[in-house]
Order: sequence, then structure tokens, then C-alpha cells
Amino acid sequence: MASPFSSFEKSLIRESCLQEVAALRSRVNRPLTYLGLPSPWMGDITAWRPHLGRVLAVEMEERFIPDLVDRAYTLNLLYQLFYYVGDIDQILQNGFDKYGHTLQDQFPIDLVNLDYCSGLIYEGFERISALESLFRRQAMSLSNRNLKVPYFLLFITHSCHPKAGKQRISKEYIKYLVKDIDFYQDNLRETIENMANWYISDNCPLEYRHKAFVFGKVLQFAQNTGFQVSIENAIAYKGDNTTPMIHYEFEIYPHSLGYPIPADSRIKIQDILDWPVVDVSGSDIASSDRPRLSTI
Amino acid sequence: MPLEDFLEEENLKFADEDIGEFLISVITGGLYIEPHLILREYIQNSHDAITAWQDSTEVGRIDIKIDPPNIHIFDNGPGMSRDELVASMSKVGISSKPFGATSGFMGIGKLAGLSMAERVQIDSSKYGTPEKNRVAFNAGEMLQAIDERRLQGESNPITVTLKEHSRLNVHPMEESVEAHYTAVHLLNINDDYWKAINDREIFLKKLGLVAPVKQDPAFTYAPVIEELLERIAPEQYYPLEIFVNGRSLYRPWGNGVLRPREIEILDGSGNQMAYGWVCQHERSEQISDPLLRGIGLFQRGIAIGERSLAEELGLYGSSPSSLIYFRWYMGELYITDPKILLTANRMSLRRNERVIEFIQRAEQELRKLSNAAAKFSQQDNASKKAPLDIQTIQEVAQKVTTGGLSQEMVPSTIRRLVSARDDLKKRYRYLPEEVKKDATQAVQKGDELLKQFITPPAPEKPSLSPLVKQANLFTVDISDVERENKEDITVSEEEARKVLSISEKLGFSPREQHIFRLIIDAIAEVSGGRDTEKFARYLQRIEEVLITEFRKIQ
Repeated sequence: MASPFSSFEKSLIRESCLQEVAALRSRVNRPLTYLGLPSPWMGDITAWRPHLGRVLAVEMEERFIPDLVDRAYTLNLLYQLFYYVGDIDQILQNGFDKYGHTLQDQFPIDLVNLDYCSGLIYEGFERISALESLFRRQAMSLSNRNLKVPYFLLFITHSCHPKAGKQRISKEYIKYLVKDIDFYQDNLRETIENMANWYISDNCPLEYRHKAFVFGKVLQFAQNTGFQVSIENAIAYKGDNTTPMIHYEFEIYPHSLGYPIPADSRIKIQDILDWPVVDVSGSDIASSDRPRLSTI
Repeated sequence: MPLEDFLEEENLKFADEDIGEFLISVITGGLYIEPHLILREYIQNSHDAITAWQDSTEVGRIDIKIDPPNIHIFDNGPGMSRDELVASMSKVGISSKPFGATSGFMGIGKLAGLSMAERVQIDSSKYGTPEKNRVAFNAGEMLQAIDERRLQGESNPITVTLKEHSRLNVHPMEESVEAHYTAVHLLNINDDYWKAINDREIFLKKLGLVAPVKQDPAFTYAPVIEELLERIAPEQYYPLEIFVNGRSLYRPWGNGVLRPREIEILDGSGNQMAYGWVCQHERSEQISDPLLRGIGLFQRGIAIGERSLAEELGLYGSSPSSLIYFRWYMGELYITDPKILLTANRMSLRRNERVIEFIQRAEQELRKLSNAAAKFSQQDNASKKAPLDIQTIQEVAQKVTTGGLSQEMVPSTIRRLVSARDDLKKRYRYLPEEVKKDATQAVQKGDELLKQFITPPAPEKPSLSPLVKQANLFTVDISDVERENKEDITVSEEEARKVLSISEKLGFSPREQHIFRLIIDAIAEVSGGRDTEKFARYLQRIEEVLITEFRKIQ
């Protein structure tokens, strides 16, 4: 039986992430702590194995635990594997899994790979709240323990299938993003308006709307918890059964942890909207008529 | 009916449906009580797989990951193909393993985990095949179903129940062609078992004592023992690398023992039945850790039963003192005789003529150990107590010489003197040579002093010496003291008796005397025992108080 979650394009993305993983490993000069949803096939861990130390694997299905452990054994990671059973969103929010295993002790994490196979925006918005919890837990652990880390890597992947989650929200979010543009200078305001109009038009691929939503939320949570964000990539690709997927890569820098004033971010609304979503070959997936900052 | 017809016999016929599912409860619930013994069964299977794989270039290794509520056990044996896995797991009480060449041979060890975990899953990938396969027993639901049927007075044939609650993957799962392992996953282990497992240090110690592992490198004599075991019968000694949560598992011996002694049990024809080693505590004391005391029985490096088995089989003899002396030892006895068979659950030996001979021979051999421990104990006690006795006699001598002995103290002094003198005489032959001379002088001095104390008064002289007066006053008779001393009571016990006798003279009621005895017992307890100096000092003080009171009423 072939491994799922290992389409050709997915493997290319893992290869591309490997460079970032290796760079962080080299920067911190120690194996990295990983938190993610590796599934029993552990495709990401297999690709990044040489750079990993502790592996915190969250698995929703209890019946897959033996397979997860088998894979860890064959990767010589048996004792570095810490598995958590349950929904990662709830585990991130509650801090413990179905068995009561606490997660907070394992923070800070160097590499977070939220590799969802479904969508991101669902009723209750637990997935979004979980992302916020992740930032809070990272900040809490770094500031409480007074640890110095250069940055951590955050990879997020989710489905862009029209039926995966509430697409309407991402559209509404665009309107929210540009609600204050009346204060902008005329030419910039006009550019942003053009961009926003394109985003809510039928010409905009769903991937772009998701990108704007995810970038915006990551930026918001990072700022509120004292981190700054460096966006590295937004890649659209075909997952299993050619499902449209999108993958994001961020470097998250500690800036003013524990400080009551949100970290100032270098990324503005126009950057969020302008950032391209590319395919695995690096080409923009939007048509050439997409409004861009550089074209203004 | 002709007699031949009357006596004719034929085989009783058993059909599959005649063997009921309650046997599963017996196997799972009755054979293995403690979790380390359940793990031992899986370790044994892994051990057999690893040691039978002649072509392997890797060091045999078992990895155990304890991750509540699950335990995962991996071995780097050759693994099993789908057919081998199915053949192995679908047979109960049938084993292709020849006895002697392997550790297990009953074919039921694989079911050991059914009592412990809700689900027992065995995954295996055979070296050279790009797949892994899985067999699982849903133990929790199976045992529940059996219990429910039992309440309704129903029962299924054992094969029906096992089929209903076991699973096999339909499609082989992808795995690296080089991968070779068998993994036992004990999933959702019952809370009752976790209590024992969570006491992690004790659990690992128990596991280290039953698993085929090397001696703890921190143990001084580990290299000596390793060398001994490898030299005498290497075919019986196959220690593996076993890791629990990444930490090496060893035989957890402690230091503070004497150099190991070899032991070998031979039958009447001089054939080896068992061999092993023991270490005695370096002082005349019990091995401090109760888990390590005594001699464990092993076969191919895997424990048979618990460490108490040797005692249960009668290998230590039957006298209470002999049983106690084996607490001075820790060691291992490897059974090498292929005719000595184990019980199905590996908890004991199956009684047959050979085993009975083994028990007799082993008892004879091990008796030497208890005798040695007894002698060692007496020597140790003698070397500890003789200086105290000598000191007692010297102190009395000094007090008599300097006149520092009060009249009230004479009776107790006499008793102490007699006790010290006789104790020295009793222990003389166990004393180190360098102490014997001092002991002889002390005994002679003691005799002289006693003569002084009990010199009979001349009848014509009405007045007695003050010392003898006092002795008579308290009716202390030297013959009584000597008689008591022959009962080998301790000085403090003797003091206690005296104090109680004075309390009688003071006119204590039986109830008061009873309470007084309880007080003496309590003082003994808080003093740390009746043979302690502290207890003796308390008694001496009580005696002084009582004597004062006695004098008031005279």
C-alpha cells in the first residue's frame, strides 16, 4: 500500500523546506525540536531527519500510534519521539492530549509543521485559535525560561478545496484588512483598493484569498505575543488525489517577548496582498492581470 | 462381558467446540500477575528470534518504549513474513521451538499481554521484504465478551472467540526492504498494571533481574561474572542489549559484597545440572535490597519465576536459620540440564524425577553456603562483641580497684561481669588471633573479680563484707546468673528481667506489672532493640530509681 501525503509536488515542497530546516539547525548548532502532524508515514520527518532531535508528533487516530512508533523505530528516532493523541488544535489550546500528556514542557519548539490535510477555516475557528495558542506558548516558554533562540520555523499547509472550510470568511477578511485605507496616501490607497477588489472578485484563485487570511492572522498573533514575522513562501500544489493545497513558510523572530506593547512588524497590508502564491516551479499562479505593487 | 472387553480402552474424542473460551481467561489472567513478567515473555520471544538469526551482522538488541498508557517492544531480529506471522500468532499452546535451543517453547507467551492491555498488536517486517504486516488481539473487548457470556451461562469455543477478536491487515503495508523488526505494542494498559510500572526504578530493577541482560557495569564484579558465565557454558549465556526509554537495562546488582564464588550442581554421574555464582555481603548482614537477595534461577539468561523460587523449591534447606542466611547472598544459578523442564508460565520447574534430583543436589551444594554464612556471621559478631566484653570487664576491674563501685550497683555489676565473661568464652573460637590474648586475660580477670564478689562469709563472723551484703540484699545468686546466661540471653534482656523482678518486690499489682512490662518493651523499641547500649543505659537508670524506692520501703 503506497504512502499517502506523499504526492510528487509534496515531496518537492519538503525538499525546499529542507534548506530552511538545515539553515536553522546550522544557526542554533543543535538538533531541532519538531512539532507537527507527521502521520504514520512521517514523510516530513524522513526528509528532515538529519536535523531533528526531539520529535513531538500529534496523531488524531489512536489506531495509528503503533505505525507511528514503528516508523520512528526504523528512522532510529524511537526515543526521540513523543506522541500526543488527539486533535492538534485542542492540544495546542489545552496544553495536553487525550492521555493527559502535557505539551508545554516541550516548548520552545524550533520547527512547527502544521500539515493539515483539510481546510483551515471551520465553524468554531478552533484551528485559528490553536495558531494563536502556539504563539502564546512559544512566547511564554521563551520569556519564562529566558531562552535565546534566533527564530523558529512555522510551516502551515492546508487544503484549498472549495468545500474545505468556510471560503466566505477569507473573502470577508480581505474587507477587514483594508478597512482603514482611507488614512493612506492617495496613490497607495488606490493600489490597495485595486488589490482588494481583485481579491474579492471571481478572478482571484482561492489560494490567494487563503494566503491573505493566513498571512494576516500569523502577523496578528505574532505581533500580539512579541514576535516579528518573515514570510518565506506561499506555494500552491497538488496533494493526494490532486487536491489543491497551499503551503506557507514563515520565520518567526522573537522581538519583544513579554512586553505589553505589540511588536512592530515590517510587513504591511500591501505586502500581505502583494505577496505572490507560486506553484512548485516558482511561477505565480495568478494571471498576469493581478494588481501588484510594482506595477503601480 | 468378558474381562478383556471390560478393560479395553480407546481415546476420548475432543472436537474444536469442546475447548471453551474460558481457557483464554485462564491463560491471560492466571499465568502472569506482574507487568515485568509479562514483558519477560515478549523479551523471551525476541531473544529467541535474535539468537536464532545466525546471518545477522548487527548486535542483538531490544528496545522498549514506555509511553503511558502504551508500551512498545521492538527487536532487531530477522522479522517475520506475513505467512510466518500468521502461523506464529494463530497457534496457541503449539510451538515449533525445540526445547533447549530456545528460551520459550510453550507458544502461549505471546498472549501474556492480553490481561494487561486493551489491544495487543504485533507488527513485523522481515529482512529483505518491502512490507510489514500486523496481527492484533482486541483483548479488552474479547475478555469483556467472555465475561458477559459467562454471566448468561454461555460459552463459545476458544477458536471462535480468538477469531472474532483478532485482526490481520488485509494488504501488506509498505516498509523499507532493509527493515527487519518485530514490534509488540501493548496498547491502553490497565491502570492496575500501571501502578507497578510507574514505580519506575523498582519496575526496571525487576525487569533487569528477569531479562537476558549483562551485569551492571557499576557492579565491581561484573567483569568477573561475565567471564565466568561465558567460560563455563557459553551456549547458555546470551545477554542482549536491552534499552528502556533509551536507558540500558542491566542486572542491577549492588556493591558491598565479597568476590563471587562459583557454584556448580552436578548429578550423581558428575553431569552438570546447573552452574552459577553467588556473592556474599561483605559484612555479616543481609543484602540490603530485598529484590536482590537470594539466588535466582535462570535458563538461557532469562529468569525462571521470581527470585523467591529457590526458596520455594527448598534449595535453601528447611531450617529457619538457613533461610535467613541466604539473605546474605545474591547470585544466579543457570539451569543447563535439558531434562529439567519449566512450567508453562515459566514460573517454576515441572516436578519430575530429574527436578527432584536437582533440588536434592542443589540443596546439598547450597548448604555449604549457609554454613559459610553462619560461620562468617559468628566470626563477625565475635569480632564486634568481644572488645565490648573486654571493656566491660576492664571497667569493672578499674571501679573495684579505685573503689568507684557503689553498693547499689553491685548486683547488676555481677550480672554484667558474668555475662561478659561467658560471652567471651562462647565466642572465643571465632575470635581473630590478635584478640584471643586480650580475651583470655579478660576472662581470667573476670573470674578473679567474681571470686571477690561472692566470697562466702565466715559463719562465726556476724558482719558481711559490704559488697556481699548488697548482693544478698537483692537476692542475686551467682548460680542464677550463670544459669540464665547459659540460655544465651543478652545482657540487656537480663537487665530487663532483673528490673521486672525488682518491680515485683516493690509490690506492683499484676496489672501494674503488665503495664511496667509494656513500658520496658516500649523503651526497647525506642532504643532500637534490646541489645543496644541505649536500652542498657535506660534500664540502668530505671534500676537505680527502683533501688532507691526499694530502700525507702525497707
